[in-house]
Amino acid sequence: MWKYILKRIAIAIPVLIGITIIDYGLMCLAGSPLDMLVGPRVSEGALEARAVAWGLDKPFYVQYFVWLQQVLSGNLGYSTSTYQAVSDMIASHLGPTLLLMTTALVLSLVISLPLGIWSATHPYTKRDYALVSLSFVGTGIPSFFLALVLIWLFTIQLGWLPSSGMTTLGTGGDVLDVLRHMIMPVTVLTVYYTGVNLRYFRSSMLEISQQDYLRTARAKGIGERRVVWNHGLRNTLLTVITVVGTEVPMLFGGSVIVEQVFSWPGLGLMTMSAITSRDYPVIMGVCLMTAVVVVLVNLVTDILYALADPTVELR
Amino acid sequence: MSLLEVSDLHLSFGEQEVLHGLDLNVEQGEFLALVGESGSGKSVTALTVMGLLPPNARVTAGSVTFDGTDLLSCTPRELDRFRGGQIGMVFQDALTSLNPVMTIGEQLTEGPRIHLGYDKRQAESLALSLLERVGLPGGREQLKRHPHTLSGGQRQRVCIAMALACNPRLLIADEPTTALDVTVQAQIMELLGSLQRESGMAVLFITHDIALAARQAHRIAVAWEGRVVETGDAGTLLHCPQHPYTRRLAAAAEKLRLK
Amino acid sequence: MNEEHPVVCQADHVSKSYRLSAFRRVEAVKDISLTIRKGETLGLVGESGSGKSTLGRQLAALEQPTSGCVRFEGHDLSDRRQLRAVRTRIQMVFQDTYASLNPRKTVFQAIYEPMAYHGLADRKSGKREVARLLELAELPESYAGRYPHALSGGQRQRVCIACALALDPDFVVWDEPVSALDVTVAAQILELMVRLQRELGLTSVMIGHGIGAVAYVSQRLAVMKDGVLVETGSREQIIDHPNHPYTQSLIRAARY
Repeated sequence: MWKYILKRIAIAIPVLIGITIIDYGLMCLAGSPLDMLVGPRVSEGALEARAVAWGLDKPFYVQYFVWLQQVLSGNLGYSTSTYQAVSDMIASHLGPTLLLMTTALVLSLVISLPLGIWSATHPYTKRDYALVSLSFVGTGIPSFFLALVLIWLFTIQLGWLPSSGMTTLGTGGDVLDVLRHMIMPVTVLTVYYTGVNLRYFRSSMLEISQQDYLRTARAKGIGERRVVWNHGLRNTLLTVITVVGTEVPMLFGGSVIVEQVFSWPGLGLMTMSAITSRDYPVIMGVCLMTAVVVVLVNLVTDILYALADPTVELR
Repeated sequence: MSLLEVSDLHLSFGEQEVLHGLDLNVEQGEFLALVGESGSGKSVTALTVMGLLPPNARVTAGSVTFDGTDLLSCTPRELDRFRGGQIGMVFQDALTSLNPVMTIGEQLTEGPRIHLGYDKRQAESLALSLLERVGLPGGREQLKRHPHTLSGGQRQRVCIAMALACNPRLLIADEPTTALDVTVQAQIMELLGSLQRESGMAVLFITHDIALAARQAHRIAVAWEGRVVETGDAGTLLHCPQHPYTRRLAAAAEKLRLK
Repeated sequence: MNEEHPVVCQADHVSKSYRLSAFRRVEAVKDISLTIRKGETLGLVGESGSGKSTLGRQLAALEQPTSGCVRFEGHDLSDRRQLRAVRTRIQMVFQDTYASLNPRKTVFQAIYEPMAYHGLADRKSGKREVARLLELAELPESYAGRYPHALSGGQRQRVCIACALALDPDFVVWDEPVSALDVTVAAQILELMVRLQRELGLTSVMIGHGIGAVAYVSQRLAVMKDGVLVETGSREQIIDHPNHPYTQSLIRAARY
């Protein structure tokens, strides 16, 4: 097992370097931060001075190596728009994003897994069709639309819930306050994730219910409940691991739209503005973080697979 | 009164009728072989007894009685008292019949814990003695193995052990040897025969190979196109078949054997 | 009498191993040499895992041996050009009839397309040729329009046989053709095999795990265990006077 983990980590390093090279290249193709500074009151000389200060006068592969060198010594650089340290920026925005996304994901799993299994064990009934239709609605509804509807209903009409930010201005921001601010954005996200997950779990369980070993379990007279929950569920676990494995990296990216509509101070929003202002250091910082998360999550998923499915061998 | 009485059974899948009045009796303690080709309805009969038919199957007439109880009118929960406890079943494909993510220990101990009320330790001792009975001796480590680490013959032995776990009065074996090598087929047949003689349980053995069946069976019933067309003592039926279809079965089986 | 007939297939010290991972190899076939002469059927018997199917694939040139050489009428089958020259004359029939046929092609298409590819039939003669082959395989001509899922196991195997015969082969490897079939159907297919071998003068290798079925169609027998050839001889020799204890156990099982 440990040999496998070390092997994976060893492979990960060239992969990460490759990803960052591609990211840097694409980013340079998109444009430079100097383009955002151009205006009638900015002189050529000032632009050039900026270019030298930020190292943008050098060719892109030199720029990349400079960046790489800095990263390896632990420095992610400074934002070209806010002049803050990139690592600080990421750290301060990561928390709120993780809070929002993790809550939504966990909630959606709690709802979609039992419902998905229940739907698959009573297939093609009215209730099954209703659930599947609802899940289509859940994935199909644009998140900003749902967000706006909720805001209209709960903030404007009823005045029950706050519609922006993570805490109420002026207050210290206690747990209850944050929770009140979380309700609507979490709802929007959960609706989407539940829709997606419900269909995955339902189809996985449906496939399992055709398997011979469930028939054997029934032939032992252990009761339908045990057949579904002990025998069937253990095999659905593999699908759950796969699905959650693909969704966990998204926890770190955040949902730009939801964060925008609710002014939630998260990573998604920060990344979006960094992209529009061509803020190289911030963009690369986020890219690196995302790449590391994906590689780690893939490794953990593979290990969990091997633990959950005895027929899988790690080599 | 026979242990299992199937009487004038008519079964349909959707619009298509597969059993056209099948009659079958299994007496206490006898080894009965139900022989027929694919499509004769033999496997479907076994599934009807166990209540394991797919949702589109309908019994349109006839009855299935086990020890006096009408099984067709039982709810699945009522059937659970019989299934595993009084009637055990072994299926054809041992690999897909075992849950790949559970150890064989877990799968063997499940039945006794529910039907016989054993606790974990008692059930595990029972599991080990069962494995010994079916020719897979070993210690506790055996119980921790997973199905895919066993050979085809070993897996089928585990399935047989599972079916015997609660000392059933009837063992239904649906083509348990068909997917196995000829050498292993002989071993499994011997095993079933000796298990039957030891415990005195009844065996309903389903197969398409009449000569193989005749090695251990007391009686043979021949199924053709949803009906039983001939029954009789195993030796007599094999050597002096009456019905033309039985003759075809016997001739074919002999062809595949060495003289 | 057989020594007079020319050699059709010659395997010299053939070995085949597969790689399971960076560090593990499994040797399926270990140093096997066989000679098969024109018009005879060699029966290759062994349990699951004995390597008989693997050897069959080497003889039919579906795979190349790891070491050693397979020759067909003198042509070295590991040489691409030589293999191409004789490719259509070596055919194979498999155990799993369902997997051997493309579920989306009709019986007609399955039989006709290889013939068209090799120029053995065109649109005009195709229908006639397919009908001839179906008759050879004892299937009604009307089956040409059916799809595999509408056929029984035995009927599908007959279609596979017709496909194999479509290219007019001289040498056919039958890999457990009846193991997945009911006894009555298996008996019919074995009869068909005997008839075809006689009428078409085929040279064959029949692979199986039941020595009874294999011996029914073979004149010579070869017994394999764990990748090694344990005993060979004529049918009468092996069945009446088996030397090796493993062969004896196979015969006991077949007499059961």
